[in-house]
Amino acid sequence: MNPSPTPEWIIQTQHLSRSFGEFVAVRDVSLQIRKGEIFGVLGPNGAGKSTTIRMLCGILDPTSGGGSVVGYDIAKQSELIKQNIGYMTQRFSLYEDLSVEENLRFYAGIYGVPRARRRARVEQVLERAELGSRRKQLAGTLSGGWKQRVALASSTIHEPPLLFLDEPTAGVDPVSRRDFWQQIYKLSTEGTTVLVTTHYMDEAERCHRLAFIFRGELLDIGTPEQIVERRALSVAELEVDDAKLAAEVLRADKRVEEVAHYGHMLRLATRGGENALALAHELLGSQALVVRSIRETRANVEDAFVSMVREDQRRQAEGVPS
Amino acid sequence: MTGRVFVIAWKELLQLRRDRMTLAMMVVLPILQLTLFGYAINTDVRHIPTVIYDQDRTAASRDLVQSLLATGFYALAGSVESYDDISRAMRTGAARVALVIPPKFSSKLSRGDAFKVQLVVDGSDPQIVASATNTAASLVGARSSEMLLARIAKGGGAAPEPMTLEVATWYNPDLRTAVYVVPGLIGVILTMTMVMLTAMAIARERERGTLEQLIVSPVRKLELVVGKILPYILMGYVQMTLILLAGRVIFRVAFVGSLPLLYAMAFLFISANLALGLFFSTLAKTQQQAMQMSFFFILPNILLSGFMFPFESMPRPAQMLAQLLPLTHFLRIVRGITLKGSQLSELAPEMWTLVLILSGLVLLASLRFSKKLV
Repeated sequence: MNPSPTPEWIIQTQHLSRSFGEFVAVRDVSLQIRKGEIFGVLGPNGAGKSTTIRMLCGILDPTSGGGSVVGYDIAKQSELIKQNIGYMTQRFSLYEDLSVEENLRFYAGIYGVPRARRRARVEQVLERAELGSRRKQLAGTLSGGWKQRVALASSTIHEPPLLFLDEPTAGVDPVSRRDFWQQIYKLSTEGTTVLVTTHYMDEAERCHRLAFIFRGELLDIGTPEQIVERRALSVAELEVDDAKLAAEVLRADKRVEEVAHYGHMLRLATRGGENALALAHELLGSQALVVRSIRETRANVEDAFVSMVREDQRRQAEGVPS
Repeated sequence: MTGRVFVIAWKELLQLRRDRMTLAMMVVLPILQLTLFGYAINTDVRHIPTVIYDQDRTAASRDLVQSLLATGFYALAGSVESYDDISRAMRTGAARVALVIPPKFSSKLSRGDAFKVQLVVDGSDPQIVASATNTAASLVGARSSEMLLARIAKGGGAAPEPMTLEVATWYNPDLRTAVYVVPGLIGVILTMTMVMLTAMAIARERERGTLEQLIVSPVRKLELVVGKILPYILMGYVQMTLILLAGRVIFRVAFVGSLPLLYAMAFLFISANLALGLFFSTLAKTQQQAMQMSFFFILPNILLSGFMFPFESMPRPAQMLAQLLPLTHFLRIVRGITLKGSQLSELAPEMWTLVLILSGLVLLASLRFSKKLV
């Protein structure tokens, strides 16, 4: 990605926090999102992603802190923000008893697309999303991938400069997901800023920049490469005869960050300058476990993500006396 | 701004058109209820509000009034001076029955002349007519026999029967239940469908997640509420017209009052029910909950409003509760207009009560209905 010479922020927050009673859902989140970028927000369920998005959309007031979205204050000018954003939720809710075309016309009306332009705009969106053949079909009878398409078309019917996608591809098959991302890139190249939350690590790696949110806090922010680099992980993939025993042996050592099963393979990650390859040889060799093959590999976003969560868990465990 | 209201209303109508079940329910329900309730209701009535038109004003006439009141079937609602007064009292609903005592009642009584005491009955409620006339007739009959026996004991002739009761039924001389039930059914059906449909229409958006979609859109709270309610006001009028037509065609119920007045009054009533439905929808998370709440509300309406059992015969606490229900007041209005030809001025107290209830409900619903999440 080429950062523009004079970065213009479309989203800016300062110390954004939100509590529900005693529970702090979002704590002190400060971030800046550039115009035109695809920005991913990662985090486990209940980490505070949706709460953050809802505050940015102006449908939930922050308890403290603040920010601006498309140039408007999130607490005071939420109605202006709403006119300038698109929003698509985890299960985007189309009216199942309305046809594809009727859904689009409804949202065009709701978002104040002028009556004279409404028809043309609906046609344009139908064509762009290749929905023409299904325009008369009731939305409830569409398959997941098609629904996704209609949902995206609906939430961009008013050509918003900023689009929020809250787990847009949850439960959608891989091919449809790929098509969906194709559309997102198209929107991005046309200048739309996209903020997307996801659980899928392959999707996270498609984003220009990422933010990790965990327990309501912003743990890290940067390009996928930067985030992975900052974790300084060393990763090895190895094939052993007794994968279960090997995993136990590896996990027992404090220097091991994470061991995960991938079919016949084990994926081993270490931190703090420890070389995964050397450590695997050392630990498994001493137990006389036969290593059929082993190779060093590049750490990915998922490794970084898991490592960050594990570190937090360890800190929690130490903090609480047993 | 207003454009969005119509976009929402248009969408709502589309959904309504596709929802065959609901549509069928809205048409079939009135007809079904009409036939069900048309003949099934019959109960004993006490404390019928009664006015006395005493043209004699003697100890004897007062004695007759006292013994009539002592039966417990009549509650004194005042004295009147003319037949016009009686008619006015009946149109406002202040009285259901009037006892007319002829002039020279006392002297005729002592002389043993034959004469008639008149009972004027509001026939728009056949249940009241039956109870009122039976009781009065047996009372007058008993009095008459006493006098006859006394006269025979004194050696007088057996004939003629000294005192007889003449019953005059106004407004529904044939005493057909349908005449009474059809107008009431307008109120009941409107309550059922209006409350339930609005409660479910918004709960459905919440349940399916489309409400969140609307919340993030620039749609204003008022636009959303008005847009959603508009089609149902229309449906309410369609239902009302349907019942009026069915009543006329199937049950040959003739209406005497002003239709424009009825339709104007119905607006208050329909709006009150819609506001209530909206309020329920703010409490319900699912359509099922909305439906349950609506049913919970509808039952006391049918039982307490005066639709099934006459209001006057209910115990005090039930009456007080019933005063809070929009249906109670609308029933008086709709029966007044369609059966007795009541005028706006005569219905004003009921109308203002309805306005008061409506304002309360609108306030309640708008306080609860928030466009922000949480």
